[in-house]
Amino acid sequence: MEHEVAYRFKATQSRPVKRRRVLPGGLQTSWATRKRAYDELWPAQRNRIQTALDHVNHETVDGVSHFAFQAQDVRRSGKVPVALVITGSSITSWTSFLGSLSDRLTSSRANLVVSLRSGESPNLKTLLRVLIAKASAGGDSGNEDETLLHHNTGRLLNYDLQLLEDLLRERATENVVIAFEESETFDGALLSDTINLISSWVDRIPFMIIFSVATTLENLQHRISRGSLRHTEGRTFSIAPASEVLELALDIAVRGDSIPLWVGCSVSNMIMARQKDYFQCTDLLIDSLQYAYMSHFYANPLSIFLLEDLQYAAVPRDHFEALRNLGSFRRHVESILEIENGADVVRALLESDERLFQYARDGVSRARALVKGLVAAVHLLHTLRSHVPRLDHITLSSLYIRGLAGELNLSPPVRELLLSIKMVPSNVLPRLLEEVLRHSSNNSDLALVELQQRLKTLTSCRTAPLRSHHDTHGETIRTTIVAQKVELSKQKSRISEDDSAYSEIVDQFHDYLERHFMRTFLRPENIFMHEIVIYDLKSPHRDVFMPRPRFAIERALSLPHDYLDCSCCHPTAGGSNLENTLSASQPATSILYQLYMESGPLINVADLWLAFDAVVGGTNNQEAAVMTQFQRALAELRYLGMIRPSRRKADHVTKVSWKGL
Amino acid sequence: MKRKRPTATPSSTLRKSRRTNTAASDHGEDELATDDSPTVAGKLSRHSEAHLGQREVRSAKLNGSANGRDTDEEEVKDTPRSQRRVLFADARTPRRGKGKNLGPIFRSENARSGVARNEAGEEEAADRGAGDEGEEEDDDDARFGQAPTFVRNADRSARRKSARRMLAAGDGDSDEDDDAAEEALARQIYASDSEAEGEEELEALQAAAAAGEGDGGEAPPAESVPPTPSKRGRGRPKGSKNKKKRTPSPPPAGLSAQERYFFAHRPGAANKTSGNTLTGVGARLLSHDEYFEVMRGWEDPHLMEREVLLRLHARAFGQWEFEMEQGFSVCLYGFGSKRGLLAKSKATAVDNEPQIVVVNGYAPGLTPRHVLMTILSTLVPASTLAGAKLPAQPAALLDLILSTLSSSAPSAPSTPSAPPPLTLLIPSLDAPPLRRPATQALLASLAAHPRVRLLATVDTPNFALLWDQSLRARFRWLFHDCTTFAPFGGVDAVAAVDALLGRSGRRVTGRDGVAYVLRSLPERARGLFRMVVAEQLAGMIEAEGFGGDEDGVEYRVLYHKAVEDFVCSNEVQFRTLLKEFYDHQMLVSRRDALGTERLAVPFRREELELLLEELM
Repeated sequence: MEHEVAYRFKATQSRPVKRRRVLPGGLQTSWATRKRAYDELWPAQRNRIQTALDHVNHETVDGVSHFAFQAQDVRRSGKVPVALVITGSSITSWTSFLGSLSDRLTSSRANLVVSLRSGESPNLKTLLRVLIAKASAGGDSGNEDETLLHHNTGRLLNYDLQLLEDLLRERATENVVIAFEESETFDGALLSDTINLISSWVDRIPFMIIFSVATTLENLQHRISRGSLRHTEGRTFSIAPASEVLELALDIAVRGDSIPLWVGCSVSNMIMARQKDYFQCTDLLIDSLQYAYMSHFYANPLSIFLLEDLQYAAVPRDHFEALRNLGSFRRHVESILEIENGADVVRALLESDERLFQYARDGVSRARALVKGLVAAVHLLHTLRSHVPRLDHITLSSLYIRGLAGELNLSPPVRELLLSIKMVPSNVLPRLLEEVLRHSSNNSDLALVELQQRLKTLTSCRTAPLRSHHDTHGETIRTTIVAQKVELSKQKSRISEDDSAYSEIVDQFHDYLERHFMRTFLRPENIFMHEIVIYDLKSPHRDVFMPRPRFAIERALSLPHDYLDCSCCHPTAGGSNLENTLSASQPATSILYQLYMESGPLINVADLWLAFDAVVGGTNNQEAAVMTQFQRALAELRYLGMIRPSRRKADHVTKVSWKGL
Repeated sequence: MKRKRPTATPSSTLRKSRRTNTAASDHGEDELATDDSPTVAGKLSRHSEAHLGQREVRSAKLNGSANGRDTDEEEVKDTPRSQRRVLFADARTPRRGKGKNLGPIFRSENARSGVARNEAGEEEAADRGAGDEGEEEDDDDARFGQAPTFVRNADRSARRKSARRMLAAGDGDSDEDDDAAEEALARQIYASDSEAEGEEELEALQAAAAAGEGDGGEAPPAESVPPTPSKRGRGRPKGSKNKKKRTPSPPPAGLSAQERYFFAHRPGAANKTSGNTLTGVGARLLSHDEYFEVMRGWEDPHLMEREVLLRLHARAFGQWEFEMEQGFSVCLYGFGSKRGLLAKSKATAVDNEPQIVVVNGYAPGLTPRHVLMTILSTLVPASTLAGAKLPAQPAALLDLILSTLSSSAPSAPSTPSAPPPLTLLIPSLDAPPLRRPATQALLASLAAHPRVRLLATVDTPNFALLWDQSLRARFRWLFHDCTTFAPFGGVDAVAAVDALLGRSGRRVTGRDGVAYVLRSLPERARGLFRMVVAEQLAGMIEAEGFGGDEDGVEYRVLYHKAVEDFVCSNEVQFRTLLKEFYDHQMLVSRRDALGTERLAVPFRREELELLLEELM
């Protein structure tokens, strides 16, 4: 069976297997419950993010579809309407953009959207064939035979646009939209030819073209011949830059009322760094978040406490033991002990599971509230910074990462903001106040509301903005020369009464913010039960998304003991000396690989054999056995793509792979 | 490798004191001399090709007696095989092992065996021949595998400074307190290398210091003037300083991976390998029968450990199942065949997923159509499939499968009434039959379907190059390191090694087989074949000097030659003649880098020579 090419696996021996199956033991017993929690919590989050992302390119979709609805006017003048969508580096969001566009176009009116890639259409003939095939499949694929019959009479070739016209005649299509995905990858001449051809059909088939432009418009224009350009009439649109979309997606994922779980600073740092360094793709971001949720619920038994309607009975006993061993629980307990009567509380928690259950539930919701406040404060910080003039732009994601690392309190971004707020003129301050008020939705901040009132009355009758006394604009520096010495003296310009009243407001606002940030920017690891509400394990995440297969294979081959953990290959004999790791007991491929590593770019197999024989061949005279191992090892190295034949000399091979590169 | 002089023997001190002046005065040269191989013989051989043979000739000449060496050679043959050899392109320390010429690719660290004695004797002879007294012969072996030249030079320089410092302190001129610490440091540096040479240097410096002290009042004595080269009597041949200094052959330690790569590919790095051949060293590649016979009786000593690894990976089955259920595809990588693991996984997954399709990526005849047909036959009952007219194109077939999958799946996939998922197990997804981008795209479209779960394994380290961004997004891979150390199933070791060493001809028909086929062909065909062989050999000989890697005869060239020789008169005839060769795999046609077709007889050079002899 195993040498068959492809086969269906028949479950013949399923019965005994089923009987032997053992239920998961230990902490994994709650997996079913946790799975339920996951199934409840993640899809909701996913939908939230997805809907938000769908709205990102809302305007562009509107614009393009509007352009499409008006395209008939353009065609009447004999030109091909062209929508140029500038994607920039966010090529990956093109698919989702085109998806929502084609939904929009086809839902209300009879439009046909065909997407073409350069790979499937290398020349004009193939391009047309693919176009016609996709167009006919896209409509109603049911009556394929009918159309076949139809054009059989005419004896048309399958790349004749006449086919398309016949097809569309019955459907009364408004637009046939041809979307060129990644227009840069298409040959310029092909594009020109296509445009020429299409422009000659425009009176019969309602064509419209969409180009996705990743570089610049000029680049595209240069590649299309001038004659073809004359047949087009274009309009440019642009979709949101990928980095913005990513920021938005992360924001949605971490900020809100219903967030059950947050990704910690190291994981989110990894996710964002990967997006920055390799490719920007929202799908990937969502996948990463999903995997974080999956890992948390699968591998952390205590994630069971995230379930909304958790009953005490549903929690297995050993989970409470795990809870008592939690780092933050221990710290918390120690802090309780210092309070009066703390010992009784602690005793109850240690002895009664039921008591602990309730306590943990409360702890989780408290921890949630704290992290939520932290994230909200990060967001507030970001918004305020964007409103205050002359402050550097710091991305929300980097602020978030720093916030979750617990580094934000009294950090430069916060201090910068607080300092600038002291100098803010009165035309900016109301907006800041508004933001802060919106942020603190619980109306407990009467002080703020009062502040707003005072500000309003102060500024109502003034046209010029008021300045606070911290503002250096109000200072003049006087230079006086006395006996050939320069004396500098600072002098505050006279501050009006209104100004000083305003300064007071600014000071109060500043103090309020400072207190607020002090209160909210906690260190997450000090939060009780943070292990349950924050997922921050790098370990499976990185390898699962960014594997290092070469490293793994090289390590397995050069240090087989790392994986095998056998007594025979333990590299104790030579300490860390590289050469001494070679031993006869190691797997043959591993020995050969280490010899291979010592060689130059060209390897003499005969010498390799001699070396191998010297390492492996013991005292016994089993040439054939050693040769078997040698041949297998050599074949495996070749299979791994590390050597290839060389014709330079007899019995030589070329080294292809270099360790560590 | 050579005599290890005890540093404190009276004779050596004598010698040292004799040459103190020398050492003191021409330090620069001295250093050069000690850089590489310090012996004259070593230097001589460095100038030559450093092949043992040549060296032997030289030393024999110098010796005037080749006989004595020959007897030594006999002794060498008895050298036990326990030597530890290190594979390295070393052109400096030629060695013999098992009495064979291992050539410069090997450096062996011998025990003081017959070889050592032999070479020492040889070198002594050489020394004498060059008029050298053989002093300053530091242990060559000790120098090997040490720090590279520049590091050693730096060390030496530090040591020299320390020595100077110690001497200065010893003179009693300086009595500052803080000097004591520096003095200690100097001693430490000095003591860190206890080579005899170091002591020599110290002595030399002492002598120099003495001379320096002396010149406080009077002119330096004549002896302290650098002596003439003849006086110093050491055998660096004139002009050797101008020779390009050889880089030490082991790559300097502590290089990063990329530096090591460029070190190996540095210009002028003669990538010297020995001229040994497998037949030459008495190794015989096994045939299939022999190979499998040995393998049948062979037992992996790491079977237990492999079992442990397998069990370890098997613990993740539940996790993988969860991941696949969430729409991800799981990809297992790492060294060793992961087929056993997949077999195990399907055995556990069997009760809730009856629809499992296995696609053996390594199977040579695998086509995309195979994959699709197997999937289709799993989805659709055989009775309906039998009467249906199936599309021929894989793309159309794929559409059919996807629509079948979608139609039988209700909108809510999590409801219990949902049809079971279709699990695709693909061992060796990166194997050649599946490597084409179109095939990967096809699999990606399958994997993107919510009802399809994909569990694949990959073997090569560079598998990630298979997918571009959009393919990868459709696959939604999650990778897991599953190193098993199990032998790769799809590898035919014998055939692979034969192909690697260009011996495929050996098994297809062999030289005798070719002769047999030719006998049954007309004279013209024989003439054409002879022509190909002759041209190919000529090309090989030419390429040897040229360094080209291309073999065979250009199709056009051969055709014109055939027409000239009246073997055929038009291309159709020519093709007909060639076809017979193709059919018997006596001739292979391939395209070179420029796209020109080349014809080649798939034999090694020796065999081609023999073949040509037979044909003449």
